[in-house]
Amino acid sequence: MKRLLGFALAVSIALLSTGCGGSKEINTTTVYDGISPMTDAELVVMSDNYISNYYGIDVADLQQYVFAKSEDPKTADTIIIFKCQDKEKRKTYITALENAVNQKYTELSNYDLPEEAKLVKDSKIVEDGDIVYIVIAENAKDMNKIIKDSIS
Amino acid sequence: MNKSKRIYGLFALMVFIIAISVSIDGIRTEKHKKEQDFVQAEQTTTTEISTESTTADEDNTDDEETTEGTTISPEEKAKKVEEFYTGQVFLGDSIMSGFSLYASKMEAPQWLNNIIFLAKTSWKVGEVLTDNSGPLYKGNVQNVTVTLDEIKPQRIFVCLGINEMNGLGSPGYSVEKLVNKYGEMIEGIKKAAPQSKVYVISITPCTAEKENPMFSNAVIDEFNEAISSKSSEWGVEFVDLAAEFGDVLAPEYSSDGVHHTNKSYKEVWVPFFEELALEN
Repeated sequence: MKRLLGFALAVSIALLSTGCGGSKEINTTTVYDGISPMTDAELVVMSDNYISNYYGIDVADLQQYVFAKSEDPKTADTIIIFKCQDKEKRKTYITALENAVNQKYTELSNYDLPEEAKLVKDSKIVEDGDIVYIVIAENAKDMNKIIKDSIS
Repeated sequence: MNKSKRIYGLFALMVFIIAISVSIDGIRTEKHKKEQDFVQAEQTTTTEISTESTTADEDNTDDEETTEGTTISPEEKAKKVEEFYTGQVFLGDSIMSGFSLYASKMEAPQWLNNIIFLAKTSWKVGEVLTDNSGPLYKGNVQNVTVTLDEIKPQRIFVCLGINEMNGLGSPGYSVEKLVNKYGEMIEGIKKAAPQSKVYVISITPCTAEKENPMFSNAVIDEFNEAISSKSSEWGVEFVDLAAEFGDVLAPEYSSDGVHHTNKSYKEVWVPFFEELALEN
């Protein structure tokens, strides 16, 4: 009986440990549906081909994802949330996001759109466990908080 | 006596439990059967609908006559367009960026989604060959000639120049100088992608409201005519998208007088490029 209780306790601890330091959960569709109306821009959800060609991200490596940006190239609004359990690939994909953000900043600055460029400059790529997200928008702070609270 | 009562009691309890189990199982079986019947009914309906659609499609074959006089079905047409553009490069500025974003929309045709867009907002003809932070490709920032060498497309479509139109009326600037730069850019692109056929797309006009002494449709026309006349010398094909819009850009097709709306991409750009694929 004691052995059985000991085994059950070990399994519980193992499960709890996995929950604390390992895979995190988020429903990107629900979160995106909730926060996308908070931007003024008309957002377009990018296709898998676009994500692959532009960011070099293979969506087959992602367990959950949403990539959306303003359909007007002169505005900065962007919402990207993805879950990638592969640590090395996640690192590469974060670098691709950094490159995209830097390029967007240069483009908008060259186009003499300082307010849009500032939104890009103020944005931050967040890595929370295996979930990565970035919001570029006027309400980015509130939207980031909603994303953060949605991660379990 | 008590013992036999207990036995009878236990026996009665068992009978009761068995009876309950049988009833529940019966209810489940009935429910499952109803669900199966429902699914089957749904499948039958779906099959009937799809059969009807197929028949309707067969009856209403919307075959089109090509310029050669042969007929081509919508399926063949879609296949030809998709083959023509899959893996090919569209290179340009913010107007092309807008087209690339439109390509992701649900309403956009599949062939458009198969194009590799190398577009950068605010990009200029004079920057293309020297810009080492060219359009992002596979997450990398690099010169576009490096990217073209990696992709090795069969076809490259170039639409650039609008960002240098503003100011062509200023001293020291001229259409001729811009066209010379354009020629150098084409030479660099062809060197980077010798296997590719290059198409140069005319710059689309602006709205009447957007015109001013420094930025006019007359100058845009002059530039388009110049790149058209140079196309055979450069060994490229001139593609006159601008002609589809007439002398001025209709306000309904533009968000700010220069850039295009989804309505423009859907109603003008998409049919234009589909036609181009079918003609080639």
